[in-house]
Amino acid sequence: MRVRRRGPGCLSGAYYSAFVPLSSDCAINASKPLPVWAAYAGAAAVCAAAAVLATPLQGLLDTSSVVLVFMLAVVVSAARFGRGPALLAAALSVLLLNVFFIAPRYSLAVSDERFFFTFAVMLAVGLVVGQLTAGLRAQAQTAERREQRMRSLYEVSRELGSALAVEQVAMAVGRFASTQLDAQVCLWVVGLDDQLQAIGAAPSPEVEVLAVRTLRRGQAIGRGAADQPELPFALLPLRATMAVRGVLFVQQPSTREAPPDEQHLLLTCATLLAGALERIHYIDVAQASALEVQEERLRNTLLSALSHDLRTPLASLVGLADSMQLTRPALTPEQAEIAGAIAASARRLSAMANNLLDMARLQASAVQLDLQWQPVEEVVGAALAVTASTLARHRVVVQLPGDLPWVRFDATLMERVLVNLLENAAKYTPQDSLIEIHATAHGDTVDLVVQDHGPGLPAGREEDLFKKFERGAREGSTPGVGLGLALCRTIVTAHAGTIHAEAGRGCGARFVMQFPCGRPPAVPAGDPWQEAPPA
Amino acid sequence: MNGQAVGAEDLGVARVLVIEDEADIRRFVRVALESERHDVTEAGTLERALIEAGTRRPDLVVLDLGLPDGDGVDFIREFRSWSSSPVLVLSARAGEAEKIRALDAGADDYLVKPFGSGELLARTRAHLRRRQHHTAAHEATLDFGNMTLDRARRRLTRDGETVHLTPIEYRLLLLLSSRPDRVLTHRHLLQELWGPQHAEDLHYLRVHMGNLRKKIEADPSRPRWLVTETGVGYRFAMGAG
Repeated sequence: MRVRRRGPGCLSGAYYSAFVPLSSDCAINASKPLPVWAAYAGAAAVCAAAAVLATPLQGLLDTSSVVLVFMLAVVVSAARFGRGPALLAAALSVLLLNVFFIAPRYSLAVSDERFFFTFAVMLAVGLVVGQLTAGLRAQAQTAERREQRMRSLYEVSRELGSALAVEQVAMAVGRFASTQLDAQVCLWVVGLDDQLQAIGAAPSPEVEVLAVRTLRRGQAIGRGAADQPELPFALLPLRATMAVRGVLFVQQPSTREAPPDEQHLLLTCATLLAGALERIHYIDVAQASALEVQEERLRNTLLSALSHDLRTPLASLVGLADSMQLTRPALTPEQAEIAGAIAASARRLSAMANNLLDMARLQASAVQLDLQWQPVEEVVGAALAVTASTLARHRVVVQLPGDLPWVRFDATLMERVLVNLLENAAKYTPQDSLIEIHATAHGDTVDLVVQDHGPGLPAGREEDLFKKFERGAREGSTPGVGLGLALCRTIVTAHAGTIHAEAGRGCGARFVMQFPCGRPPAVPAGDPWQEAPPA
Repeated sequence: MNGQAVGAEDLGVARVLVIEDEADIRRFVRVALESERHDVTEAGTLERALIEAGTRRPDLVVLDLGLPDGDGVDFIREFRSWSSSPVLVLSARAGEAEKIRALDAGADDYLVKPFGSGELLARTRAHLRRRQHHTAAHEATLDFGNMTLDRARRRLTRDGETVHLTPIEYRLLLLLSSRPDRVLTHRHLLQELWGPQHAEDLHYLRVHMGNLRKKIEADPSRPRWLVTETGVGYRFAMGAG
């Protein structure tokens, strides 16, 4: 499998935006976390403020009220600055209380030992409250972050839902990955030709090889996956309902520690992405088939017009030349000969036009074969009937075993093949020579052979005969454009068969066709009229 | 091309209507038919053809399906509503669907372009002979080759010896031989023999046709009587004899 690249330019935007490095801080821009030192300084400042606030009130309030002021400072620090600063605030509060509010002031000494109990309880309460508050704060932050992720997930799903081109999809995913996952992403999409196609620039050829493998196996590779977890990046197969639609490359800074729910987010995003790609795939399929139908129609119209315009005058020519023989007074022998030659030439021209038009029809489009199970005998009989006059001066021997399996083919086309082979045989072999048709079954194939006893084929050029516009005798006087055998091959190949030429046994040319034989449908064994004779 | 020689077999003067938009083809068909002393009328359009058919009451119609002002199959339907005279269709090659449509509408036979006067005359002769021996389908016995089909006794004999046929083979032979030289489409045969629900089961037909040929034909791979019309159907070929 090859990896094709879409043209540059149109996608650079998508890729660029995916690679814009954004710090994870931006993820929670609602409450920007302060640097660590600032948080601690803040906590200290709050405690100092509490001390300053409490000082003038000292005369009015008793010590327990002052303690409460400091408790407030601890709660505020915890709520604002988190767990560590809350700890500091608790310790600092005890210290400040001791130094500024408990006699003897401005010293760490304590006159009344009962205050030690107060300090201990205060510290304990400060710690507990601080922890609880900080925990609440962390939870609130997590909830906020989650909500924000959900919002962006919702946003990306909306974008993916409305995207009509893979480039839009790549852009949306790139944006989402960089803001929410701090990741660089790159996208490969399975095109209509089943080839993996990089949207934008792929990270490196090695990664492309891995991407192809991811697609083939349908299993993630790299970080977080069972396969090659040591890699610094991950390749995720984008599995939609019907098939794997692409591969997503995800690379996050190795230093970054991923929150546990991030993997989940990534997988959700990949699923959304796969769905969007599948939808786009079917849009493409629908468009392609609509276009194909249109082209097909045009081609068929052209071909049938051409066919009519070519064949009608030829049919007139054949008939007119032929009916000259019937005019009165009767033609002189010489004139009759000329009329016969004109008719024969016109017939040859007509046969050639038929081959040309058939070839055009078969090659221009995926021809619908009317495949039916049938005995080889019938089509051989039909072909011999068509060529009866051509083969009038040859001896034809047909050998078909009675138990020859049926083959599934388009009878009209297969008749063309046999007629072409028989006409060739008649054309290139002397009068009264033998032409043989025989068939044999070999395991699960049926061989059908047309053999003549003429001069044979040019050695080593057997295969060339099947190319268009080739003939055995290059400068020969025998008429005919070498399209007949090319047509034969086209038809036989369309039937999943093969055709080749060999020098015949003994002498002459030998054309061997091989068809797969399958399982013909069952015919009710009993004759439906056996029991109830016709009325 | 031995038109005159066989023409000696007196089929009488038949009124033939040639419906074809190509003047050159009309001309040579006329020359060929007149060489056998038939009375030929030409029509280049569907409209003209219907008028001529109504006034001339032809014994045989030679019809090209692609007419400038309509579909030849429409003519066949219209013509068949009041006449049983044979209709010989001139068809383009690779037009199996078209041929089948025409045959199912009531045409008797077709000739693929290009064709020579010999082929044309052989066919018209066969169909006109049928007109003369109009009773072919109703006669109790039919002789072909060294065989005799005895419709009253439901049996086939070869040189007086009974050829054993299964009931369905007999019916198939009966069906084909009652309309000698006419092309019967696969669909028609299947419907007659197995009923409409089997109209697509062509392999039924092929199996029994193969068996019947083994019993009747000297060389089943080169049938003399039960002729394959590839992609279309079968014909019981009396006329070529």
